[in-house]
Parts: sequence; structure tokens; C-alpha cells
Amino acid sequence: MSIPHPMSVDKILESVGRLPSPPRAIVEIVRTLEDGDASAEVLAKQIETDPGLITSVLRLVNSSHYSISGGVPSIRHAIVLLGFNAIRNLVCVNGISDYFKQSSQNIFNYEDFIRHSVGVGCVAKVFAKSVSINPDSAFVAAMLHDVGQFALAITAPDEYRMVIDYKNTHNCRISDAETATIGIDHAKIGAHLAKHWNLPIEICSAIEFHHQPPDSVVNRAPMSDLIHVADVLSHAMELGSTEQVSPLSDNAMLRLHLSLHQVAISLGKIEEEYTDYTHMIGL
Amino acid sequence: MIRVRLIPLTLASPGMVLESDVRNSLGQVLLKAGMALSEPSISSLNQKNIGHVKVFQEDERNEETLSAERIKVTERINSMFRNVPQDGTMGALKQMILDYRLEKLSS
Repeated sequence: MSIPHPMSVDKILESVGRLPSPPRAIVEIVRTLEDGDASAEVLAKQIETDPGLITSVLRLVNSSHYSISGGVPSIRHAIVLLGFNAIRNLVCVNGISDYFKQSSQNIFNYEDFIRHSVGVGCVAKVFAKSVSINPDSAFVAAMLHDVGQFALAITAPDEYRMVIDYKNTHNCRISDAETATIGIDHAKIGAHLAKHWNLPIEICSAIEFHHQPPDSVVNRAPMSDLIHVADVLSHAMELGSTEQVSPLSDNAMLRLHLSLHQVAISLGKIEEEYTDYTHMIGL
Repeated sequence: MIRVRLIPLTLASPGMVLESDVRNSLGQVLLKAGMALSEPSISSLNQKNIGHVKVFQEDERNEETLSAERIKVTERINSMFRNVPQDGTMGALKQMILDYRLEKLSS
């Protein structure tokens, strides 16, 4: 039997580029998350370009979760009744989660993957405001932070299997297994893909540096720092994850002006958010 | 001993008494604190996508069971933190998670 030989890094990047991008409407909404002049009118138009999205938003807002008497007939009504931010967050989280479900092709355990991504999102959301980051952008960056792992599993399954075998044999973290077997880790693969999809630069950077935020004292990439911290904490809290904990960057915590005390008093709130979100998206 | 527990709705059963109001995401009260859950109210909360409820629960665990659970939690956290420094920030984070889990266990 011949020893399996992985594709070159270039081939892997070419291969992951073939992963279908998330629905255009979601990408458009993500691109306009930071726009100061984003309006309910623009959001309604973005959602209305995608029939699947209209159905899923109306199904969610008409579920008795929201107890709105008379029902919600349209996206515009939903935005008025529940608020711009609530609908935008619901569209992004639910839309990205659906995208992973639909693209998983039964070869990837998307449930654990989405649970972990939502876990990172809940930690990021709880701290986002205190570190002056838009909570919706933080949640989206969190939902996509491991997209490189997903893309590798779907578009290069042989390589992905080699990574998992290596990880199990060496009892190491997945990113170390990726670097050792295929020469690139999922953070870099994910950032490559996010750039390919023209996602905002701070989301691409957050994906790229979520294991190792840039090591400087200056606060240049707060989103990368936040997603890094949220990733480590979600592993430590075992929010949908059984992956061992990675080191937390002291510099990232310092740049965010976030203390372990703040983290300690937020653990209960994070767990409540996590339960609510996993329930909302049916996990 | 009676303790307060935040439990996933899937673990809720008729007869459990609510410690605090159950609200939907708009803040509207669906069930008031002090009410006992019933089959219909649990299924109604389920339809309304309520993920968890805070209830009073009789603590039926004895010291032996509790101590076994504490050991299990500690071993689990030691395993999760096995490949990071055990001092400095990571040591403090590990202790923080352990304290949180152990407090939840005995509350």
C-alpha cells in the first residue's frame, strides 16, 4: 500500500476555493454590518433578495418564541416589531448555520462544529460592547472563525482524515496537526477563503489570527483579539467543544482591557446565551 | 436541602417549581416565579423556544455522590487544560473555571 501523500499548500488553497460561498444576501449583510448608515430599508431589501432567507426569517419570527399576536406578515414588519439589530443578528447566525448544514454533504459532523462556533459567538457577544466592537460583527466572525477546518473537510477529505489521524495519534491540537501534515493550518485556510468571498478585512483577520493574535502592544486588531479570547474561553467552558484548551494571549487581554475578573462574573451569562442560541437554531 | 438550578427545558418535569419568571426574548413574562410546571406548560415553553428554566430542586445527593462528582469535574478540567502552562494566566483561568463548576455543583 502506498503511503498517502497530501496535496501541496497551493493545491489545498485552490481546492478550498471551490467551496460554495455563503448565500449572496448573507455576504452582503455581513459586508454592511459596520456601515453607520445601514438602515432597516437596506436590510429588508438584502433579505428580500433571497427567498430561502425570507422563509427562514418569517418562520423564526412567527414561532411562538416571540408571542406576537396576529403574526408577522413581512420582513419589514419583522424589523419594525423586533428591531433592526435583533433581525440582523438572527439572519446572520441562522443564515451561516444553515449554510454549514447545507454544505456539509453528510461527510462532516456539522452539529458539533456549529455548536462550537455559536459558543465562540456567545462569548464574543457578551464582551463585544465592553470592548467597543459591534456585537453582530463579532458574532459573524465567531461563526466563521473555523471555516477553514470545514472547507478542508469538505473539499480535501483525504487530507482532513490525515490531519485527524495525526491529531489522535499525537494527542495534539488540531492546528498543530494541520501544520505538521499539510503545511498550513485552518486559520490561514479560513482567512484565504474569507478574502476570496470579499468579507470585511477585520473578519478575515479575526479568522486568520484566532489562535495567535498579532503580538504587539498596540491595539490594532481588536476583533482578532476578541475572537481569540472567545475561542479559548469557549473551549475552557466546553461550549459545544471537547477540544483541549489553547493558551490565552496575555497581550490580547491587555489590549482589550479585559480582566479575568470580568470573565469570571460573566460565565453564567455566557452559558445562558449559549443555551438560547443553540435552541433557536435547533441544535 | 433545596437548591436552585438552571436546567435545560429537556430536563424539566411536571411538579418542578419555578424560582424565577420565565420570559420570552421580548421580556414578556410567560410563567411566573412560584408556579409549578405541568406537562402542558412545559410543552408550551418548548413551542416558544425557551431553552432553560430556573427551578427549585430537592438535593438528593449525599456527600459521597457529591464528592465523586467533584473529583470527576476536577479530572475533566485537568484533562482540558493538559497542554497549557499551569501557572500565570492559564493557571488562573483553570482555577476560575474549576471554582465555577464546583460552585454550580454544590449550589
